[in-house]
Amino acid sequence: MLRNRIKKTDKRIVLGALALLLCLTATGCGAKREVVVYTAVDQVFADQIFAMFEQETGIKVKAVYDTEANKTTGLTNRIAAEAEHPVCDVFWNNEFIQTIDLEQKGMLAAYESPSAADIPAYYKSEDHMWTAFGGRARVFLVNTKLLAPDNYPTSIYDFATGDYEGKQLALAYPMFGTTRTMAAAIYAQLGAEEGRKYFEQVKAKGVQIVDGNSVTKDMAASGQVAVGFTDTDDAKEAIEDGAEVVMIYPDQGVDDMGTMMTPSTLAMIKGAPHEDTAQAFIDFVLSEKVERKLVEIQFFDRSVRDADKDDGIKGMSIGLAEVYRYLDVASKDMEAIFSTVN
Amino acid sequence: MEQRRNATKYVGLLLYCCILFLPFAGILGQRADLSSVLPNARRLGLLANSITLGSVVTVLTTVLGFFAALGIANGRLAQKWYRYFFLLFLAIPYYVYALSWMILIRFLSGFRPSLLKYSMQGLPSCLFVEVMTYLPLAVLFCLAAIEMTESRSTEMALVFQKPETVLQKQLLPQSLPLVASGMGCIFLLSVTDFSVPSMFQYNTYTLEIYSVYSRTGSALDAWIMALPVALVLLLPLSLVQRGIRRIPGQQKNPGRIRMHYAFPIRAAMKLGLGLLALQAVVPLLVFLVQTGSAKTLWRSFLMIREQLLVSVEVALLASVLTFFLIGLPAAFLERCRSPLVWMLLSLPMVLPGAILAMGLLSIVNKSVFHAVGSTVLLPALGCALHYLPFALLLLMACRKRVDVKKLEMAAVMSTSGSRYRRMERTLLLPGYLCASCLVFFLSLGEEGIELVLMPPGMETASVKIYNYLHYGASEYVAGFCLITVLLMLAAECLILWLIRRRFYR
Repeated sequence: MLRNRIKKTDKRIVLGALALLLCLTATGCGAKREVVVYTAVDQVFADQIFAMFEQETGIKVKAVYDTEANKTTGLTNRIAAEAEHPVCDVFWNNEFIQTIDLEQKGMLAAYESPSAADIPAYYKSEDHMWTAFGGRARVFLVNTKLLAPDNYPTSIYDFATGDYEGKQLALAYPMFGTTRTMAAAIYAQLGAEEGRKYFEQVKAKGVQIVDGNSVTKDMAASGQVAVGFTDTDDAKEAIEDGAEVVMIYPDQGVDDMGTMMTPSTLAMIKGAPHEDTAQAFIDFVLSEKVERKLVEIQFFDRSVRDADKDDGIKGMSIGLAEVYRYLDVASKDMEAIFSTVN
Repeated sequence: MEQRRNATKYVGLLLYCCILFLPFAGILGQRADLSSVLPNARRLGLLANSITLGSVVTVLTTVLGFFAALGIANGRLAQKWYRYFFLLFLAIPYYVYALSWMILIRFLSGFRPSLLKYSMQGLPSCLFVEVMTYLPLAVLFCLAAIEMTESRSTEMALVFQKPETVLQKQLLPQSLPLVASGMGCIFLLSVTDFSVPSMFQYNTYTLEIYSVYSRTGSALDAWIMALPVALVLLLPLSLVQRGIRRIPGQQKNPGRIRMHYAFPIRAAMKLGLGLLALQAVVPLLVFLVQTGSAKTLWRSFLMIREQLLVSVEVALLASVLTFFLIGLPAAFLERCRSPLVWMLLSLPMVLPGAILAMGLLSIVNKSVFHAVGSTVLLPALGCALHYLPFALLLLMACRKRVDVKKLEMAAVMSTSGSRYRRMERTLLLPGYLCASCLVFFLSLGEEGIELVLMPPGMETASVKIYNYLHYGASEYVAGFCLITVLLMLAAECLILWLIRRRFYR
């Protein structure tokens, strides 16, 4: 009896496992007109654009998303790891630093999109390796139950030397994501020494350094802190959810430096397996219609096509490449200042 | 035949090591920036933070878990199939689980705003949430340990001694080996997780690894930085090793004995059980309240069904791979006394999953098998690889419970090595199934590995949960989590039904 049981068990296990392996691994197969897009844009926004593109062109978008919990290291490192046999066609990044990083590593392919003809040259790579579009600002999200309008912060210096208590303020870990980009932008704007001094003051003030922009938003919306320094898309979500908060653009005075505007970037990957559909996707997303749509659904604050117009938001005057130049030094400093024993 | 059996073990071990160290091979070509990875005072401080957190969490969780398990084993649930109810939340990402406590505080602050002053930050808050997070795992190990003790000798001891003395001198020493193994696993999970500590602004060494990786993009840097953690893990691993070696052999337990303990022990059991119930009830309530209505729950289901299917596919494949990979290394480790070998074989547990996955992706992409990258086999391999050491430990514990007489008989009577192995595999089937189930459940909640390895156009439930969490769609996030819990419940019921049908007919 035991012998029969052994034989049966073995056969069942092996056959069952083989059948399962075959069925499940076959899931990824199939040939269709498609484009593979890696995107760090929030899925809820990106999905709307993918649906529009699929409807208009009949090309299937196969997307890979990033998450904030992965500390934004996922997609660019994945593209680098796939350099030998690229899988991704287009990288749609929600910022510009990591796209420039991929360009520096030689992982992007040049493509001059006709849709980008009306985008100012300042927003495009000289070799047409990437194009920036739209823009999200860094803003203060102020809890109106905790602060009266007279006390609203107006400058990034309020986080360093203002009258607020540190525990009333929140900022995401500046070693990751757009807060890291913001740190590099502040370094580029003020110079490395002043930049470092600024963040040392932020640390000394006891500002709450929290796990990501969405946590910053949640803390300001729930009243755990009076002011959170975050991205506009997060701030707008809190407002949409009915939280008692307002959004303030910092440093908007005549002599002030303006706030950091983060454009999204689109780039084609070197050796993209579906080059033609990749170009069609880039043309579609860079079109004015799609950029306006992203403003309308409140992912962007502004269109780069309006960059020269006065739309009420004053941005920093430094260039994207300049910010990238300060990234490494700023990142190392952020680790040393903020990743310390509590 | 003995020689051939040993050779097979070594071949199996070699295969296991090859798969285990695939990610490492993937990063060999990279250059390390030594100035970025060298230890300094700040980093040593962070490592101390990690060790402090890991140690306190391990001790607290194990003490509470032991009493909770004692409460289950000694109470009405003892013989019930649903006594493992506490495992329902194993597939909810730790971060989301921890968030439910944060949401509870925010909700309660609506009635009492002063609560917000205790804004949940620093070591105490982190400790609390981590203890609650890992409590089910601790109870699992402790309950299994208690259920493995010899009930006949306990019965005999009770004739001469008070229950408290029997607990101290009989039950506790007998269950200690597996409990120690559980402690090792919890310490490991706590030290290598950065998501919960960073939520409570408690900086740890693992966050630093991620920070350097984020800056340099070099997985080799991350691996080098993980070495001090690996060294620290030598101690808990030797605990695990000793624990497993001392697990008592199989006995026939006629049934559990209910013991009437003194008040302090009963109180501790109630506290443990209360916390165990609380760790399940709080997130369940938070998710229910946040979901709001059946309509939202249904809509959540429609939104996440495809991703759930992908998650189940990946988890199933990972458990199948585990099933086939752990047998021979477990047989090898049974005789191995060196903690260094144990440490080497457990190394994948030390690194954050996403960094491990990056190495695997890199080597597969460079190889002739790069097409595997467009199938769910790759994320499944990544998950299996990350959780193999856990499965291995579990299988080794189960090996100790095998009827040695049957194995000896098989060794004498078998005419070939393959016949012996077939016999051994059949006797060990419950262990293989337990280990595979553990990998299935852990893979179901995995996020970092799947994010890196998922083929384009596919998404798992945990990635979708994180994406919507960031967007702030709390009602859908809660709905997704509830559906995942229901899926876990269904999976647990199915597994228990299969086990009962297979082994207790």
